[in-house]
Amino acid sequence: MIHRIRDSLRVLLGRRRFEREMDAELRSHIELAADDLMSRGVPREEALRRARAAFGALDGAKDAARQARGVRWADELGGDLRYAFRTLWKSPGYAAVAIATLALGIGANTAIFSVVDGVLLKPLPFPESHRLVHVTRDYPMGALWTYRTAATSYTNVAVYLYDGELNLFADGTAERIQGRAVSSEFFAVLGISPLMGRGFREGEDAPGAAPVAVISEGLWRRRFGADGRILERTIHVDGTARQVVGVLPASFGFPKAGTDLWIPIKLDPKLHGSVWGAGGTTFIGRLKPGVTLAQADAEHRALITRVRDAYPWRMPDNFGQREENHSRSLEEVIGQGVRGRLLLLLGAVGVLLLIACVNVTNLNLTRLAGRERELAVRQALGGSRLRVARQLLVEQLVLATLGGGLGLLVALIGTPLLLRFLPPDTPRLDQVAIDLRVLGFTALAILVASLLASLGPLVRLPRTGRAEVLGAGNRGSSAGPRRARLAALLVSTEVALSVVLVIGAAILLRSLGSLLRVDPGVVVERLTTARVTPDPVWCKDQAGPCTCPPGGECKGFFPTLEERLAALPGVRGVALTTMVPLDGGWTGYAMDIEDHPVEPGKPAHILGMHAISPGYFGVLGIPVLAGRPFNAADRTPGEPVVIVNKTLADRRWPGGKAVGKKLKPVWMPDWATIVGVVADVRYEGLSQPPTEEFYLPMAQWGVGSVVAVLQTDLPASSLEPVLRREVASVDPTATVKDVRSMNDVVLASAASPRTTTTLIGLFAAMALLLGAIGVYGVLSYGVTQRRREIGIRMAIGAAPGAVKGMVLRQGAGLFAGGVIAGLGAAWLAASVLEGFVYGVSVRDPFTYLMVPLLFAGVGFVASYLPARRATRVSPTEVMREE
Amino acid sequence: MAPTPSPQSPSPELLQGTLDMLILKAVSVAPMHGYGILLRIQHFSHAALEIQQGSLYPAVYRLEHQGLMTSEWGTSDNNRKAKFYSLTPAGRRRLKEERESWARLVQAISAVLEATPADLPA
Repeated sequence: MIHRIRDSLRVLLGRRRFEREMDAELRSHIELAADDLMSRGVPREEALRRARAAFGALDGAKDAARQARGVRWADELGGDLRYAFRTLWKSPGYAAVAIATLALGIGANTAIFSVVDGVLLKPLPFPESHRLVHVTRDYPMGALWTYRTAATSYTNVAVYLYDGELNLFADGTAERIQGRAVSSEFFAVLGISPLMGRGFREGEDAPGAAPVAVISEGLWRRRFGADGRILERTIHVDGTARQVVGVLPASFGFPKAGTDLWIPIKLDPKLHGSVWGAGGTTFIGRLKPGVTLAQADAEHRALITRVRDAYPWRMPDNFGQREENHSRSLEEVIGQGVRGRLLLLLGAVGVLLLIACVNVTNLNLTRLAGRERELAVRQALGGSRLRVARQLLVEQLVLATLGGGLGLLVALIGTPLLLRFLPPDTPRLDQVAIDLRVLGFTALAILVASLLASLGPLVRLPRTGRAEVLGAGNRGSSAGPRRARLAALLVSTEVALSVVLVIGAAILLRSLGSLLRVDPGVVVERLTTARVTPDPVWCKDQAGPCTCPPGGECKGFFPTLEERLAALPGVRGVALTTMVPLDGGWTGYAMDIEDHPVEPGKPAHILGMHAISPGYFGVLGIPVLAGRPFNAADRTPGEPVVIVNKTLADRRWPGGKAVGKKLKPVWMPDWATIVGVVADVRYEGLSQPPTEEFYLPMAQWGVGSVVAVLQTDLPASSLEPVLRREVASVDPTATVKDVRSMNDVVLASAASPRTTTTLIGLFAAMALLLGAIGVYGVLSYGVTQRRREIGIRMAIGAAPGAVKGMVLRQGAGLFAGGVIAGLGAAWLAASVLEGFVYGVSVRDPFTYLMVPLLFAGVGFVASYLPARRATRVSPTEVMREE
Repeated sequence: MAPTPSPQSPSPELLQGTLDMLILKAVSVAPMHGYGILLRIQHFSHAALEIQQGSLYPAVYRLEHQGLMTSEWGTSDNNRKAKFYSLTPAGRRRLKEERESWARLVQAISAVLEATPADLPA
């Protein structure tokens, strides 16, 4: 087989030589035969003549020989290709419309697929990535000890903290960068070797280890000028001097693209709070060869009780029994947040391609009618049906390839735009590229598109009778009505598909509308927010010896910061908080609540916690419903106070009896008194209903990093440099990050639904346009076909209005059928939108009412133009043609 | 007029299968050009078989395409340039197989043709 392909290729590539040699060989044959005859005394001329006659038809032999070498198909294909190009060249309008339609469909699909491929389908960029497992994210880092000693499924298990920002101070400037605290096994699990230096060694996450750090190639180049002696340098991370021991290649961006710094976690058994009290850690592992995910998961479940018993305090009996507590492949877990949305987009864009193909197949069908005579002649002249069908297929393949090539261009421009447009927290965006995999997909799309686009004509082709057509002159043939029915069916399908897309887009749009109308519970206008993080070590040096709780070293920094920011020109008010509303973050504390004791062994109450400065409620416009806000006097360490939100107050002490009650974190000795109740704020996102939250005065609580909220008319961009200068003047090692308006925070919180809705809206608009073009095309063609009939009608007295009405009715019929089918299909498919909509039903009646009206309008426009053309048919001209 | 059996037009079935075999055999003796192959087959068959010249080259090309023969330009006995074909190892194996299956076929057909009433099953 291989030999044959190679031989065919050799012949094809050296085609001229092959032909020359074949000619020479046959000539030599004749000569040899003639020589024989001459040796028997036949004169040369006569000998040659006889030799030729004996050989028979030279061309037939050559053709058979070519076929034997497996190259005749290539000749025919070449002929088909030339013919296809010639035909397309002769009908540029048709070619342009078909190519543009397919380019749109294939381009949009290629662009979306490239994203889906990079984010969901490609293997993770680590060696033997199929062995990487997401073990759990339900455990604190202390559980790693259990895994190190007891787990047998893995070559290694590592932990990294979910929280990802660190202060970097080097060469006199401070910067807040993406960084992670990871356990010493981290790089070994992922199988990554550094560009320079090393990863972490065993024990570097244990107490007393020398502080080290690993940086990214990006940071090394950007911040340290690709210093060749970087491994001899010391950098300050959150105030701690750390030796740089390794530089990682730029391709490594884990857990997130753009992570620039990795430091070891602190696995100190004495630090109960951070080792056992804090969640937000992720466990990943590398399976031993031959161990399955199911085995690892079974082991994970078996270890749950051991982890529970390893805690220094008693954990609830149902510890670790949550539904989602099971091990899965790392790849799957990384993509899970966006999988649904991306697949929705892929589905929508797939429907768009289908519509594009139906459009082209319809176009072909109408065009086929014009070529009926040509095709009939070809068949009559001996072109087999198969040959003619192949000819049509090749033509569509040429069209689709041109369209696909153009579509690839669309994707090359579109994909980078798409990447910028997608929410920045989308995982693995750095792996999205137009590569061979995507090209393969495009090739597949081209193939499918050309098959679909030739389907219409091919279905009709065999019935194109030869004599029938040839005899019918130019009056069309009996195949006409059947073809018209097929065209009507196709165009109705197209309309139906567009209806499905438009309904989906409209429902998403209404959902986005109701999401953005949600009252977040805070003022949104004229506020600028910025995260400010001082350096705890610097704070400690400033404060001198202090009995601050861990993380509370910077107590002195924040009041100064607040004062200085309030004094800035153009700033009317300032508040500090640990968490800006709607930013998606949420800190939960295990709390004791007065009047609501927890039985031993049962889970603790978890309440959302915010440490704020006294100005917070005023600046953000959060109404105080009962009691009082915090004031400057709320700083006495012995008398802690808290404020609760309405949800917490109503749930725990209905009837307005919350003020005066008490709360405390389970591990603290002192109870804090509730001094006020405030209205609810949506912290986790617009679609998330408020949970039970409480507020602490920052002065009574250790805080390491704050968000400053400034009341100002200045845009965030012009405020940023002033803000940075001011912060640096208070503490040169403090960092400023994410300076943006509150409005941007709200918009960013709805980024995913906004992106999805915009893209699907775009696809729906294209679908609507294609549907309209489809109907227009069929009607226009109908008018052209029925010119005679229309002319005669008008000649015998039909009013132009009646003719117009006839075409409009036909258009209405096409649209009505499609719209009804589309409504049904959308209704049936509506559940795919489940989980993507907020505040509106996936079968929203209003949308189902409005979309048909929209299509009625579009249908009227698409039918009106051909209808008007119909009235311009001149009866006398038609008669003359007869 | 009764049709005369003509060696020049063997039945197509026969030709399809056997022509390849005959060509392989002819070339197996010594490398030869197309015209020579025709003569050889004619000679070996004592002029009983004559191959239609037009059908020779498709068969030869097919055999070369399948990797059973290779070709090389050379000079004929009377100093004419001609393309000489020779067997490849694969061609030799094929010829052997063809001969064996041909022999079995001939044997089977002869057995049928030479059967007598005595050969009927009891």
